[in-house]
Amino acid sequence: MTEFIQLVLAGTANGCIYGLLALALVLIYRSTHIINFGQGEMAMFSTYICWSFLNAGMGYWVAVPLTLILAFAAGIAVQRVLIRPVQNAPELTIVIVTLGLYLFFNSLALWIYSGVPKPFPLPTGIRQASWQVGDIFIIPYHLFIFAVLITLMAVLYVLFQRTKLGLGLRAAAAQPASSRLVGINVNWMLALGWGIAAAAGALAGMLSAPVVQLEPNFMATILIFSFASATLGGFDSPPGAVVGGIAIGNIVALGGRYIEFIGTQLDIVLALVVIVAVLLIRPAGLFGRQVVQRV
Amino acid sequence: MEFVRSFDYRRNWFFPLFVVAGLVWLLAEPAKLDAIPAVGDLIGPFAGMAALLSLVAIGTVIAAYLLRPVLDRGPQAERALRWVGYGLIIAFFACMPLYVEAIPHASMLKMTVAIQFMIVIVGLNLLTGFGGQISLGQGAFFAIGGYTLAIGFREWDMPWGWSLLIAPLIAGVLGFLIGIPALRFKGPYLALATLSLAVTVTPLAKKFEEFTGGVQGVAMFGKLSVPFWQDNLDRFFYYMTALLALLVFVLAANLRRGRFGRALIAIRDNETAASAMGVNVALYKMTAFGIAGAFAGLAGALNGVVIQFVSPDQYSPLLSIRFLVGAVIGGVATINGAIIGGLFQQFVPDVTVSINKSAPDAIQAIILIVVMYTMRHGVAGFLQETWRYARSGLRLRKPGAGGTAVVETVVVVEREEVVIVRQDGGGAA
Amino acid sequence: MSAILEARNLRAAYGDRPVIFGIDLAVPERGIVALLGANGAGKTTTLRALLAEVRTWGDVRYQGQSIAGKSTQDLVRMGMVMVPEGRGTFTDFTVEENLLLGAYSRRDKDGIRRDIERMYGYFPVLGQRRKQRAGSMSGGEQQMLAIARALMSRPKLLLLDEPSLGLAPLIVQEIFGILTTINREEGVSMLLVEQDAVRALKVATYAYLLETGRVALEGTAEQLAASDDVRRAYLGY
Ligand SMILES: Nc1ncnc2c1ncn2[C@@H]1O[C@H](COP(=O)(O)OP(=O)(O)O)[C@@H](O)[C@H]1O
Ligand SMILES: [Mg+2]
Repeated sequence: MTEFIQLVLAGTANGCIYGLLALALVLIYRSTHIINFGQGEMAMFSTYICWSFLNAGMGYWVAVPLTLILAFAAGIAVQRVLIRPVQNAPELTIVIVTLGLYLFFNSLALWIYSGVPKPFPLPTGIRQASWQVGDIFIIPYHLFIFAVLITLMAVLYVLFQRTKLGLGLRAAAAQPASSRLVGINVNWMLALGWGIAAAAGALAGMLSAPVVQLEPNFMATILIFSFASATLGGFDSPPGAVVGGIAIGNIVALGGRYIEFIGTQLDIVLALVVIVAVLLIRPAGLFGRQVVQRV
Repeated sequence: MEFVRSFDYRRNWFFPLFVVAGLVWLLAEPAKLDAIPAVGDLIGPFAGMAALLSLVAIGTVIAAYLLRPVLDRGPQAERALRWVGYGLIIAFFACMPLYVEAIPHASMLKMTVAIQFMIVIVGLNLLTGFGGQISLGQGAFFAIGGYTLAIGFREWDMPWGWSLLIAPLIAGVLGFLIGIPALRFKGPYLALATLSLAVTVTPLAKKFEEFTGGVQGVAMFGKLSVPFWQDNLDRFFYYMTALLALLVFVLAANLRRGRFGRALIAIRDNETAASAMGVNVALYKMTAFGIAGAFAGLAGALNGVVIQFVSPDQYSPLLSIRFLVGAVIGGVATINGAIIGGLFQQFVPDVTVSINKSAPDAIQAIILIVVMYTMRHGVAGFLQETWRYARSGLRLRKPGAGGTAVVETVVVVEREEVVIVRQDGGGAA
Repeated sequence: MSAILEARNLRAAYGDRPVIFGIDLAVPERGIVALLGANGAGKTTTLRALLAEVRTWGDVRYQGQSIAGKSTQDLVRMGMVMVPEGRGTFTDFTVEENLLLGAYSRRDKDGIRRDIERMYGYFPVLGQRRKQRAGSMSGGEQQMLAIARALMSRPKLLLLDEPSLGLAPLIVQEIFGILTTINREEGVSMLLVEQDAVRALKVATYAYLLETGRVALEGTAEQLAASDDVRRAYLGY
């Protein structure tokens, strides 16, 4: 039982990270019906930027917000420059362009930072040592990740549900044509969506970097888990993405331990199984409303 | 789904751009560009490719002009000329040993691998280009091919020739079956599902080490015997691969032209209408997956034979992405584009890796995006468009005189888009 | 009476395909003008062209000023607002959110609140459903919502695309009643696209008849209603 709880704690912490990246995927999918295959690599590259800041002597609490702002701007730039010209193009074209993003950021990171893993520190003020409660060890950083996720969700909730900008963002995503007719600058709303998504992704990257090693491919597996999370939660539901992420984190943690065959090597197979199963059984995911098919 | 969009040559700005970029590169001293670090390194390959492309395009225009007397005799002459073109391509590959040394960066082995890429890409072209099914998982079938060979060799001492039969069978059947869940997925979801397939290959191969040899892989160096040319394995494997590729291309071209191809295109362009017309959508999609899988399996087995080594890390998800990238750059809704895609995927990384270990992917990424903006039908589509434009531009002095007239008179060829264009023309009239 | 909107030689195309081939039309200040025509004549496209939603050429003046190069968004800010064909309801949003979205181009919070209440006055049924998902309402209610949404931006010119489409006659009557009230009391000019020519000609002062992207006939509402051509082809009596 102790072990089970321990696994759930770790799985939930990882799941928060999958949920964050899934959130990024969902924000973009909802507004533009694009699955951004480059999302993970954009996050990875942002994490490297943050590492550079830290390496140059900047404090954690300065470097991280600065990176988030840069990632936000970069997300907007990517949408305006690269995505907008192909927004109405066939799906294959869009998939290919986002794959181009994947390749580009992946190779750029390798080029600039080499493949040697970089150490990424815990946030200043978060202890390494764990607390013991009964038989269970609680890692402070796990709680930190959880808290960050909750905070972000709250901020996004307020933004989307309680502000005029949020109303515009939601409207532009749901009904671009009608939005244009009430004077919403839909193109900018979509770009903002990409900016927010890029920042959320960057946050996922910077949160996971201290746990897994920072190297150019470190987001690739996380991306697959996030795909699974978004699929499970529903590609058009931001809360679904987060719940899906936590679910996937636990499925992976528990599956790896209790299913002999899976072990630690085949956890990615679990993600694949979830993706295929969800798409077959309930294509809209747990919280999604839309049918998967884009008519 | 409007999968293949017609484009208007006159509105595209890129052709002059390529010509200028190419000429600048040809005239400028490359040494001067090298003075700018990294940028200079990158400009070389880009400008080189732009130059190559613009030369070929200019050649196409000149050819269209010079061949005018022949072409004007009608569609039959045009068809005959096309066969001459195919003949030239086949001759080029057939006589490879004569000049392979003279081509920079080329060798028989590399050409062999390039042709294996072509085989995979032809399958993708049928599946994705004509069938509209995006697959990021062809690396998985390629791996099945490789491991059919390796496991057969390791476990049962199976002669490698068998794997060339068995691998496409297994990969084909698996592809056909994977087509079943794929029926439920559309567009980016299918890309996602197939990508996760590609991602699982490496860990699976590592996991089942009793059969696959795990991380170390299976080495077959010097243990694969060939009936002749024992002293020149490269040549033997090259011709074997090339012959099989010829077979694959002929098969693909026939499939594309026949009932199967028409059904696929109908499904791609309007699934509901196709199914209403009585096309068995499920069967055709699954068959397309099966065929693409079989081609990839064959290529994977061939690759294992030629490299004589099979290991999990050869089959990273990047491989699958590269296949799709090659297909798209060559021209995904064409058959001939596969030739260009295969050569591109073999040689561009090979040439650019000297700049930096990660330069190939960076350059590919940039080329990919540029190609998507400028040549949505890839290089092959671009050349066809050039040819068509040169033909109609040279014949009808004023191309603006009648949009429909231009379309009606030009009988084109490779891309099925013609049908769509005609519909538009008909509707407007 | 001066014209709030004046278009000369208006042409429009979808991609390469021309659909509108040179239309001249004018909407007088505080007037209602009807745009009639069969299905596919190009009525919707004309409205979309005026709002810069399709590729457009020609000289369009709004309040005496050329609007060439202005985006849809700019035009909405300037008070030229469309009630689109099919109503364009924000289906997943509440009725109230729909109205707020209508006021997206405005900044005066208090004014917006007051206008929302005013809309509930015009359309009491919307007031009863303010928290309801707009997509779950009936066609007539959604049409009212669409008009209310457009009014929320305080328009000077409303472009209405077939507001009667698919609605029961009684509802249509109610909606047309409100439209004339709004026109009279608030001085909002209207360009009204309709297939129901009888009804349109009753509220309009002037009308144009479109045929395949060209004006086939124009005149005062009485003239058109009396024209044999129009009667035979579009009025059915
Ligand atoms: N989005 C579009 N793309 C291409 N053609 C269109 C589009 N919308 C309408 N058309 C064409 O434009 C013409 C006019 O359509 P429309 O303006 O909708 O007519 P109306 O509103 O009078 O029924 C029709 O022939 C129609 O087929
Ligand atoms: Mg209409």
